[in-house]
This record gives sequence, structure tokens and C-alpha cells, in this order.
Amino acid sequence: MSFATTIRRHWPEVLLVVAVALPWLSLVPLGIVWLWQGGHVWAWAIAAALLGVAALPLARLVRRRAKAEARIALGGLAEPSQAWTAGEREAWSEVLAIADETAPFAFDDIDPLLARARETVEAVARRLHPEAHSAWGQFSLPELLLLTERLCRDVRREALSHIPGIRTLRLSHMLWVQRQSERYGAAAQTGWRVGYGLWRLVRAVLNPLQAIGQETSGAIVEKTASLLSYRLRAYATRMLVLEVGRAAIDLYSGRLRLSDEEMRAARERDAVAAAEPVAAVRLVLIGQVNAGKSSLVNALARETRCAIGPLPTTSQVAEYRLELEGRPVVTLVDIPGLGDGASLEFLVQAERADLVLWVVSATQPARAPDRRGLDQFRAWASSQLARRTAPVVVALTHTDELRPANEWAPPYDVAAATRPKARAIRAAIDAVAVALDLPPDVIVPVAMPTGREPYNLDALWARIAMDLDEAKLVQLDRLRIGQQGLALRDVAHQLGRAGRFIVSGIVKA
Amino acid sequence: MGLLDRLWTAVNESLFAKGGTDAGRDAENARQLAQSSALVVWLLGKTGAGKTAIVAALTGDRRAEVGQGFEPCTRTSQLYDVPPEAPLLRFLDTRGLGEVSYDPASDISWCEEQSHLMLVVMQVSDPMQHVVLQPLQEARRRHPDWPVVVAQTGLHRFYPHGMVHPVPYPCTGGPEDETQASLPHALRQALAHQRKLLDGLRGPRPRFVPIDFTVPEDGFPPPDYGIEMLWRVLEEAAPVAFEALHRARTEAETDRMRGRVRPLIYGCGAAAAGAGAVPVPIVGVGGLAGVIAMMLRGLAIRYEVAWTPSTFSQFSGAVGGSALAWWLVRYGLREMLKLVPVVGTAAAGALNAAAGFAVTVAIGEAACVWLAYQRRGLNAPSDEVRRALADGLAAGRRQAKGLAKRPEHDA
Repeated sequence: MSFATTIRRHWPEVLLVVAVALPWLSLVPLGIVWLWQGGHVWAWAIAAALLGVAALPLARLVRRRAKAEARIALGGLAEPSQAWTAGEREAWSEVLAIADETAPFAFDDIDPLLARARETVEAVARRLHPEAHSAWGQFSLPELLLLTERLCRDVRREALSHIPGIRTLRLSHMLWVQRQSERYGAAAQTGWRVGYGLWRLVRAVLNPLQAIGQETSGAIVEKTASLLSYRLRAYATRMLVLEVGRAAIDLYSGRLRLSDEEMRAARERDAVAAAEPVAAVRLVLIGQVNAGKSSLVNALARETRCAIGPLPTTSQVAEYRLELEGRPVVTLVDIPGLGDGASLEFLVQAERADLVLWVVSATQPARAPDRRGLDQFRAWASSQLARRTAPVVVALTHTDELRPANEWAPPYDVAAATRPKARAIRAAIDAVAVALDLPPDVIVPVAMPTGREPYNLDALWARIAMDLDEAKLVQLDRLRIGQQGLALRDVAHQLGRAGRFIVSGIVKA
Repeated sequence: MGLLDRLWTAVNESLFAKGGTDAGRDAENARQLAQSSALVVWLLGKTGAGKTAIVAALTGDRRAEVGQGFEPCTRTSQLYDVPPEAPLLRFLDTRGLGEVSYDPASDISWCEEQSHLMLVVMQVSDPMQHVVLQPLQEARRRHPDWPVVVAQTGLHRFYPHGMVHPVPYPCTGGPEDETQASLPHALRQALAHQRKLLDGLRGPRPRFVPIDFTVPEDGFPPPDYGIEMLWRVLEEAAPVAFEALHRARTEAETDRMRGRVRPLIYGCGAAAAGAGAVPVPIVGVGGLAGVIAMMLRGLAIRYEVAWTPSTFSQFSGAVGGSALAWWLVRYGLREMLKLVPVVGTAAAGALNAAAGFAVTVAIGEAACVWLAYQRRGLNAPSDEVRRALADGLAAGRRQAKGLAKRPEHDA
């Protein structure tokens, strides 16, 4: 479709546009002529220069606001993912820093932007694999393919929602555009540049006044347009860097090691028994000997599941699956108590925990074993950059034995602490918070007096529920990391399948 | 009686000495003397096992006072002197037992230089006692003869709802406790478990005392459940100091103040005994007088009465001179008293110590009667003061016999 045929087909519209626009467009040259004749050119030029000077800070302000707006508008995008670990969050803050200092791309030069994207990927790779020689290559082919798959899905979704008519646009159309551009593109561009340059020269010679006016307005229009599109470009640039960073983190953190379906399978393997379809959150009870861990298991389960008594009763790890109405499905893991010695056995279980329920007796002021154990757990947790670790909730047991010892008439208002018992419970919570260096709000007072109703278990369940989302994320990380152990088996499996292909190929040949 | 006159003169001088230096020096000397002869009770127990409650119950000091009264001793331990001016007992508490790497060596060697008793405190509901057993075993490995008493505390933790302490106190400390029907089954199990922990301990078997020291608000009367048995066992293990302290606590009905001040009197008695028996730079009457003056000053402060030269001469008139001599004759101490100024001879050491002890205790008891009347603005009847003096001498002599037998003083 050529220009001439367009004119031919739409001549009434063209005439209409000309008829309406011409009187107004003619005002520009007429005004310049008037200025020339009236001798006001200098006054006009000075005023224009002054306004131009005034526009400079305005332009800067507009730029700054555009950047800030982009930052705010993309605030949701800048939020780190809930599922990320500390190390990945650090990588993310590096990505944010890059996004902050990246200038909006220009339409005519896209290379700096691509360099920035590459830089982002490399920064993330370096951060997540500091020890690796070539950090950027720390991913496997399946991971890359999964990332590609995911990006393709995202691109499709975005395209469908943002580009009108994309469903009807055929590849052949795009190929035609490409072919035209290949065939005539370079010639057309050169022609335009040469032609336009010649026209500007001719114009200057013929009518210097008009030339000045047009050159000025051309420059201003170009400048303003670039300024007004600045916001859009800042927006797009930031979005690109952040998206690249996010994808890079997913890739280099090994999060793409398993697809969603594979993750589901791993979760099933983690379940206590093969028959159980979903792995419950693992709630590991840690505490001193006779702090009341087993009693707490029985109370939470609403039935006697494990032995209790005045002497140490739990000598090995035992797991109890709870599926109670109105309660989250959890697996309680009862482990032997922390002794006076420096055994680290509990850490093995703590590493497999999605939520740690630290059981502390209110009537045992010798809390050094708890503190020591908790510090060991914290030291281990802070060394885990690749995964998040279980949140800690404290169950403060034996509160019924606090002073006055022979009085027990729950409920107690621990916050107001009007009665002596409530005051004693409050004091015990504060003492444990200081001794174990924990905020008081993770400490829930409970009691399991023999032969009577257990106290405050609802509050304990509520506290557990608050950390349940976090616990599930811990579980995801745990399964993902644990999956590395299975990798060899997977490799063998894949080799086996590849071997079958080859064999069948040979047989067919 | 020239000797006694000299003693009173010296006490008078010391009591009303110009300037504080003499008084301060006397007090410091008396304190050091008492400390060197005081019984050290080495408390071994986890935080919250009930050590402070036991010290409070034995001494009659409130728990808060006991808690603040501890002073650092070695790097890992602290001391509580009872009474502080002239300790009869020194409670040694190990700080941070159960923290990482407690080495009992320095505390053990410190205790080697003192007469002592190991008082192990275990909360009966806490079966994990490794941190307590470790220093105990170490001490007994080196000194199998060191006496050990194990207090098992917090009995009510195993009572079912509504149960109170069985009265009369049913425990004996022996294996029959484990079949005692009036105790809940879980409690008996826990008691037996803790006793078993000490099965392999070198030396004689420790004595076990189940106790439960609560506060009245807890609702487990009596608040010092089992204290009589604890007294009995402690007196068997270390007669002198605990008999004196026990007497101070139990004979307090007549004059509550007197019960409170008695540890000071006995502490000063021990210091006076030390003045005769331990080679410290105090010579004869001067040293004894210094201790007595310190005691009289301490008693006056507790009774909130000030000594003046005139009240002191009235008091010494009531008990001093011929009156005192008469009582001394009657109680057959005349021969002993002759030896008081003969200081430094090893042969006379124990006797001097005994005499110094008895006289100091007697004067202290008499002073209590005198000061109690003074406090009400009255003059004490001489008869009553002298009776107190005589009783004090008798009691002091009984104690002093024990004192003479204490092998530590032969060293």
C-alpha cells in the first residue's frame, strides 16, 4: 500500500484535515512575519531564551519525579518474595541498587539497558555463588529450560493482556513487516536523513526567518517529547531490571531445581507414612528433660500418645501426626530432653523442623541448657543463607505451680495481671524472655495439671497458626535443599531413559 | 579478781575508745578470727533449687536479705556470713553452676582450708543433676571424709490437686521413704531417682532430707516443712555451729530479739575462741576484750540502745567483778579462766578457746537481758542478768567442749 494510493482512497478526509488545520498552522509563519515587521524579534528571542533557562530545572524536577513515581508505582514489584532466604534477599537489595542507578533507556540506543540487565544477572550470580569460579554459569540445563518455560508463560500472559489484537496478528504479518523493513528500511532512513537535511538548508537560504522559527520549534518539540516520554521509559527500565533480577535469583538459588509438580512429589516423600498424601508442618518440641514436652504432646493431641512421669521418659525421637478439627494438620516431633551436657543431637531434629516449639518450665530457673541450645540453634540458623529456618515459639509449662502454688483458678488475665498468680505468670514470661533473649510475645504460658483441664492451649494453637505460613515456607526450602541429596538418583534415572532412546534408535536403524 | 577487772577495764577502753580506729580494728580482728574458725557450708545446687530459702530458714533472715547478703569470694563463688560481724557459719554458694565449664578445683581447694559441710540442694522434680553431681564427686574423690547432706526440695510439685503436706512429717531420709504410703507415688519415684544418682559417690553415704520451704501464700502449711529433720541432720554432721544456730532459732520465744542476735553472740564466742587458739596478733585479755566490746556494740545497735560510760558501769557492776567470779567458781570454770591470759602455748590452746567462748557467750546473753530492759527505759534486775549470765556460761561450756573436740583446731 503506497502513499499515493492512500491519498487517492481517502482524499475527502485529507481535504477535511487540511481545511481545518491550515488556518491554525498558518499562524506560526504569520506570527513570525509580524514579529519581523514590527521589529519585535529581539524581544521575542530574549523571552524565549529566558523561558528556556527556566525550563532547565523544571526538566530536572520532572525527571526526578518520574523516577520516584516509577519507584512507587513499581513498589509491589520491588518487594522481595516471601519465600526468599536471607542470602537471596541480599541479592535482591543489590538488584534494587542497580535498578535505582540505571538511567531510563533511549529509544535509539538500547545497548546500555541490555548491559545493565547482564550486569544484574552477574551480580545475582556472584552473590549467590560467591565461591564459584564462573558464578554466572551456576545452573543446570533443566533449570534454564524451566526458567525459559516460565518466562514464556509470563510473556504470553502480558502480551495477551496488553497488546490489542494480538490473537489475530499472524506471524505472516510480522514476517511481511520484517521483510519490508529489511528491503527498504536502510534506504528509507538514508533518504529521509539526506532529504530532510537538504530541505533544512534550502529553507535557511530561502527564508532565514522562517528557518529559525522552525528549527527552534523542532528542537523544543523533540526535547519536550523526550521529557514527557521519560516517565514511561523510567518505568519500563526499572521494570526490566527488577524482572531480570527476580528471574536471576530464582535461577541461581536453585529454586528452579524442581518444578511445581516435582515439588509436590517431594513433599509427599517427606510425609511420615507413604499413605499420607500431604506432609504436615513438622513441629519439633525442644526443651530440658521433664520440661513437659511429652505432657504437651498429649494435651495437644487430646489423648495420651506418649508416656509421661516424674523421671525422664522420652529416650528417642517419636512423631505424632495430629489432624484435629479446627486445627492445622501438624506432625509433633517429641525428642529427648536437653541434658546438662553439650549434646548436639537436638540440632539434627531442629534442622528438620518447620517450626520449633521450645518447651520451658516456669518452675525451672536454671535455664542455661535452654539458652545454650537456643544459641546453638541460632548459630546454625544464621549460617543457613541458602534456606530459611524454623521460627521459634515458646510454651511456658508448669505455670500452675507458680506462686501461690496451691491456687489454680484459670483463666488468668496475664496482661492486666491483677491476681497474684497472673502476676507470677507475667513475671515468669518476662524472666524467660530475658533469659532466652526472645520477645515476650512468642512465649505462651500453658499448664497441664494432672486430672484437670489443660490451660491456654487455644492461645498456643493461635500462636502456632500465626507462624504457620512461615513454617510452610521453611518446609518448601527444606524440601528443596534436601532434594540435592536425591540428584544422583535422578541423574541415573535420566541416563537410563536416554539409554533406552539410543537402544531403540539402533534397533530401528 | 584481778584478771576479770583487767578484762572489764579493757572492754571499757575498747568500747569507749577515742576515735573510730580502735573500734574498727577490733571489729576487723573479731571478724577475721570468726571467719577463720567459722563453719563453711558449701551449697551445691542449680539456680532456683531452693538454696536461698534454706539459708533464710536456717538463719531467720528474710529471703531478700539473704539474696543481697552474698559477697563474691572466688571467681565462681560467693559467701554469705552469718552473722556478718563475726560469722558462725559461712554459706558458700557456687555461682553459675550449670554454665559452661565450671571447674570446682578452686572452690575445693578454698574449702580445704576451712571446716565445712557440703549441702547439696536438688529440686525433687528435676531429675537432671549432672552439674551438681560433677563438683560433688570431684570433692569426694579428693576428700572422701567430707560430710554431705542432700536436701530434696519442692515436694508439693508432685502433690495431686488439693493435697497438703502430710503431718506429722513422715520422711526419714532412708529407703523407707520410698514405700511411705502418705507420699504420692510420683514423689516417691522422684526421691528414689535422685538418691540413686549418688549411689557411686566415694566415702560415707550422704544424708537425705526431703523438705519444702514455701511462703504462707502458697497454701502449703507449714511453710518450713521438714526443717526439724534438716536441723537434726545438720547438727549430726557439724554439731558446734548448727547447735548454736539452732538454739538461737528455737529459744527465741521468750525474747524474739534475743533469738535474732544470738548468732552474733555465738559468732563472737567463736571469734574469742579463735583469739586464744589461732596464732593471730592479739594478745590475751586485749584480744578477748576487743571481741567482747565489738559484740556489745553490735548488740546495742540491734536493741537500738547506746552504751554510755554510766550504763556500762551499771552493767559491769551487775555481772562483773565479784559477781562474775562467784558464778565462775560455782560452775567450775575458775581453773580454766586462769589460763585465759596464757596465750600462744599450744597445750593450752583448746582450753583457752573454750574459756574465751564460754565467757563471751555468757556476757552476750547477760547483755541481751540488760539491753532489753534498757530499751523499755528500765534498769534490769541484777538477778535476771546474772541468771542469763549463768545460763550462758553453762551453754557456752557445753558448746566449748564440742569446740575442743573439733579436729580442725588441732591443725
